[in-house]
Amino acid sequence: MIKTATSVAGDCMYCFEGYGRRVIVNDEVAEVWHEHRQTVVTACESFGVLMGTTSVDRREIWIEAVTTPMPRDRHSRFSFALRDPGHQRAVCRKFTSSDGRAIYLGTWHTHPEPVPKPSCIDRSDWVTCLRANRGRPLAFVLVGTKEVRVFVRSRGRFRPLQRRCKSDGFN
Amino acid sequence: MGIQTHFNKFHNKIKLDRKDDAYRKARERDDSIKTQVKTAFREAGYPVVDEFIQGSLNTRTGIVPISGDYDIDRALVIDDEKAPENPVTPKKKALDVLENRGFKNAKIKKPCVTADYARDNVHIDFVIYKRSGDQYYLAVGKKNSDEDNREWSFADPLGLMEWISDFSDYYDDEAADVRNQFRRLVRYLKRWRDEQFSDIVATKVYSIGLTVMIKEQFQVSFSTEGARQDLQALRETVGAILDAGYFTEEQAGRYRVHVYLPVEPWRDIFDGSSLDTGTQLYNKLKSLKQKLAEAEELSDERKQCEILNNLFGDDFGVPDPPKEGSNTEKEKYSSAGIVTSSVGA
Ligand SMILES: [Zn+2]
Repeated sequence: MIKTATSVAGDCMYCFEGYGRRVIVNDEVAEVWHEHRQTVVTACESFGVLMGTTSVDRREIWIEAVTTPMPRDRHSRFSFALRDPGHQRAVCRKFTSSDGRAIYLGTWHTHPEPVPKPSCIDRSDWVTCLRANRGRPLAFVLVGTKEVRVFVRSRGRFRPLQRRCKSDGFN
Repeated sequence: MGIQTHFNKFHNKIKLDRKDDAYRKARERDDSIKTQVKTAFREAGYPVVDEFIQGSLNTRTGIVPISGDYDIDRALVIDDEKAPENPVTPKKKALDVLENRGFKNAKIKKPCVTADYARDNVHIDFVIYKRSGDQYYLAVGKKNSDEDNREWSFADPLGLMEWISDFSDYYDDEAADVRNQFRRLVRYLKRWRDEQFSDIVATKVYSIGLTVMIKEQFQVSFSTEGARQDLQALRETVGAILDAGYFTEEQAGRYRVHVYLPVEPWRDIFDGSSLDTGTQLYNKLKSLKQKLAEAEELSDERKQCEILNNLFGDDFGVPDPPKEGSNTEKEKYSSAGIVTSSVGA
């Protein structure tokens, strides 16, 4: 594990806000993303599902764990397909062990660009994820080589949340 | 701190000035292509006698686009006596220049010739006028328009920009403050439009239409001590716009919007606009007014900001809550959720 992650993980924990939503990412998850950045030309896209808990009003979510590519998934430098049933099994295990509080919260994947932008394929896939999980406050994460961005669906579009460091509040 | 502080921060984030760095690249692109168009016009026998940038940059009501695409409206003026009779002729000339430079998507639109520099997110409209004395005529017509659909049409581009910036009704010592509040309101409403409407409808809620409505119905608001009160000014201005007769109810609950240019040729800015656009604009303005009034009633600044953040997007910041309980109660779910066999790129 990289403990001194700077460019992506930074020295403050990940917190994203906007559109009435807040997404808090725990340090282990941030480290997984940092390790999987596509900084090497030959690196494949990495991806997985997000798992964690939500507040009662479902406006705040905590991403507490993620899965990473598994044997039966497909991936290349520019695309991936999440096929391995191990991802669903991981979600179910978390759900049971958390007494029904940790659930599937969306997907993450890497992009070989500094500030990642969702492709058309990404957006249409995210719609599919939302349809299969109606009423759940899903978020979608793109891990670029420089920045991590979190997207939520708001008023008919996927919109990036703003990164908010704990240390630089408004006061 | 007061809610105005948050409006000030918001305004600083969204305002776009000619001097801004973000805009420099757009200007460089514009300058290089403009020089070539001017050369082509001179060689064709109708040299450019004047040029200016029109639109929001000139009236200082521009905003940073959320799409990241920067627009420039570049006006080129040729002399009436040397102008070709057919207004489409110089537009084709401009199109040739653009196509020779490799713009695959350059095209002649009714009021202008447009070009996209996709790589730099710059979009330039060349607007061509001829001038006789003080009178301007706009080159109207598409590439293959016949005589009935093209004309040198009366226009007053400078008059429109002057009208937008004219606050001579106010005393000298207050005119600058009033004008600046007006400019802020225009920027707020443009950003609101970009946030609240789908991309397609947003392009049909013309900036110039919003600007003219705000100017005509502007309700200035400062406290007795002279402090800005943008929230009140905006709420009252939106209320006045709704009551001003721009919207006609053509069917039950379905509206058409008409806003006339305050200068020659006095045409309806929203000419040809659909009932759908009018209805959406009317309903969303109504809801905006209501939300602004709600925010005005609140005393909790964070809650006010949350409402305004929902209206104007994330450039309207919401302060952090005083203290965060790490022991927030968690939702209990009935199922784990379904992992679909995602694909991505
Ligand atoms: Zn992607």
